[in-house]
Amino acid sequence: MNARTAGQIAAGLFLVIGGGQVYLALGLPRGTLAEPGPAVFPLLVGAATCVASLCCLVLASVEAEPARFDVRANAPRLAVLVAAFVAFIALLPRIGFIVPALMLEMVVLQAFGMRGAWRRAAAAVVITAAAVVLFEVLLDVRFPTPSWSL
Amino acid sequence: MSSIDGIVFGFSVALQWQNLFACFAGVLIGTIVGVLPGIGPVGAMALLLPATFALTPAGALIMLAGIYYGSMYGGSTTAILLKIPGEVSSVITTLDGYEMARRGRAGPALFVAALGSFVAGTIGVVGLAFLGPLLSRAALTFGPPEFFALCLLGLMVLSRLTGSPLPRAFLMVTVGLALSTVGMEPMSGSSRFTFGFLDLAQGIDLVPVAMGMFGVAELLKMAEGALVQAKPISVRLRELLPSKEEWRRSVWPIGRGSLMGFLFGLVPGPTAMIATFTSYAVERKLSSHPEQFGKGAIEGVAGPEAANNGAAQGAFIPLLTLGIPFAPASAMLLAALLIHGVKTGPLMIANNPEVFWGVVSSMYVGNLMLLVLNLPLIGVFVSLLRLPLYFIASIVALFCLVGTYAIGNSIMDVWVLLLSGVAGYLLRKLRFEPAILVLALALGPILERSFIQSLYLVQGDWLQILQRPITAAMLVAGLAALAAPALFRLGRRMVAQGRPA
Repeated sequence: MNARTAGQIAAGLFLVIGGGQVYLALGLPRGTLAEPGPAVFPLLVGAATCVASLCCLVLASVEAEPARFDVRANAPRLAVLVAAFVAFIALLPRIGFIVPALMLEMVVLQAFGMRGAWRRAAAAVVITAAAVVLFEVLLDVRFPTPSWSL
Repeated sequence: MSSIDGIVFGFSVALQWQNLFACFAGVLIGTIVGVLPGIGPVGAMALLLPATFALTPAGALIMLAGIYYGSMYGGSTTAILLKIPGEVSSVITTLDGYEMARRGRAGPALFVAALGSFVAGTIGVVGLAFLGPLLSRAALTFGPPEFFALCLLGLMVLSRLTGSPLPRAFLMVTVGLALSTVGMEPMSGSSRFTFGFLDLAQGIDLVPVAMGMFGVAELLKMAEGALVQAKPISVRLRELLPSKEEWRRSVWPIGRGSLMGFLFGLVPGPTAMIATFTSYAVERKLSSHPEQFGKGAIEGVAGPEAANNGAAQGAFIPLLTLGIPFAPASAMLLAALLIHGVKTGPLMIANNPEVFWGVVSSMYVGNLMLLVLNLPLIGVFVSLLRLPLYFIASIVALFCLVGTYAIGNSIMDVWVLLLSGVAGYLLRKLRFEPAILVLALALGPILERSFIQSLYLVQGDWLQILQRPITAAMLVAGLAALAAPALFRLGRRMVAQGRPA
């Protein structure tokens, strides 16, 4: 995909977001200019988003030299990282902190090139333990307790 | 309280052992963040926000401010020893700093960078102490229309200064403002765009968005790269001192850079970076040997390094005196103040003198600490660069997630973090500037509240808003900032056409 197409897609997406905001804001009380309701500011912002998106759409279409929009560079590594983040967030409220954190650490260490499964496991344990000490013990952060209701 | 009394009072706050520790922790973490690639000062400030819960509001701000200006010191180390700017404001230092290092003058380059930062920090503290109360008193005459115009001015100037094409910058502003409308409306308290999610009723918090855009997005960018381990040029303690000639050539650039940086810092946008580029251009113009620039001229290190620290200090003024953040780092400080229940705005100095004066004085203490940290201990920080990338990445990843959760014990915030991270990564790929979005998100509630209050005040006759002199002046200045590049281009073309062939 070249940058022109990517830019057009992004501008189109923002146009939808702006349009959506205008549509949803129309459902809120508008009030009067002297006593404006909660719809006024979002309406203005939504309309401005639409205008800016249209300008970006034009800009993306007329740009002279579209560079490559390359998301394929190391795409598997990026996908694995994002999946690890998603898994961590999804598992945290269900099984608590320790297991998702260890899994996340193992994946991130591997994605960034640490060799040896045992070394990775040891590093993951140390970093997770440090996080527990810092956040749970020192800062008194209460992580969700495991419900074991996977 | 006069400025002198204020500074004395500020030192009595800054020198309390808890605040001294907060300051030391802040500048140490800031230096490390500046040296290491990855998270950046805004991400680090967001990450450490939960760590400030145990501190007083003054202590929290002292620590977070220390991270910000500490990162400016640290950023120059990698720029000089590796030709990799630790922070964007150190980009220009790579030109002459690295060349000096290659010629065996890494020590003097690091020394001058640290000294320049210290001098700029000192000038910044004096500027803050004297200009802050003056501005704050002036701002007491501001009503909602003036605050509305000031926020608009900030966003307009910001749109011009980030280097993005205007439509892209403007789009980031509107998207940031759109995100700020989620949750409770500031005047009536009615709920908007929550889609039934109870967690969204309080709005989209600034911290997860900033941490996502600056922390997670940076991590994804790092993962996309080649994962090459850095090999810094080593430097010994006895090699640090500059020669007499280098001293002589550094003095004026440091002075000019400090002043220039401080003044740039008052303006919205990535002013630390702009100040360094301007300082470099000025020094090159004023130099009797401009041909040495880019080949290891010490002025090319001294001026910009002073300028970036000066700008970092100057950027505190709009936040501490008006309660308006003009830079992502100030937005994080605003978030910290709000979390600690400090009401920001022109009355902050009067109502919370310990916060304002404590922070101002702590900056001097912090700059002294940084001078000690960055010269004798430079070898320790250089050795951090040998830390494998996978350790840095894994720590950043986990601490981003846990840090975000810790702020509000909300899983929704962590989802916002991830979405912001992926969005920030894609936005940078598409040449959008996420910093504008973050700042617009921070300014959104202030802008909306002042806009609605203004309309109430003038009973809907919006022309009355434009008739107020300060409001009109700010809006004209904002429009001028938007139109300036086009006008300059037009002028240059007219001059070129008028010139004989």
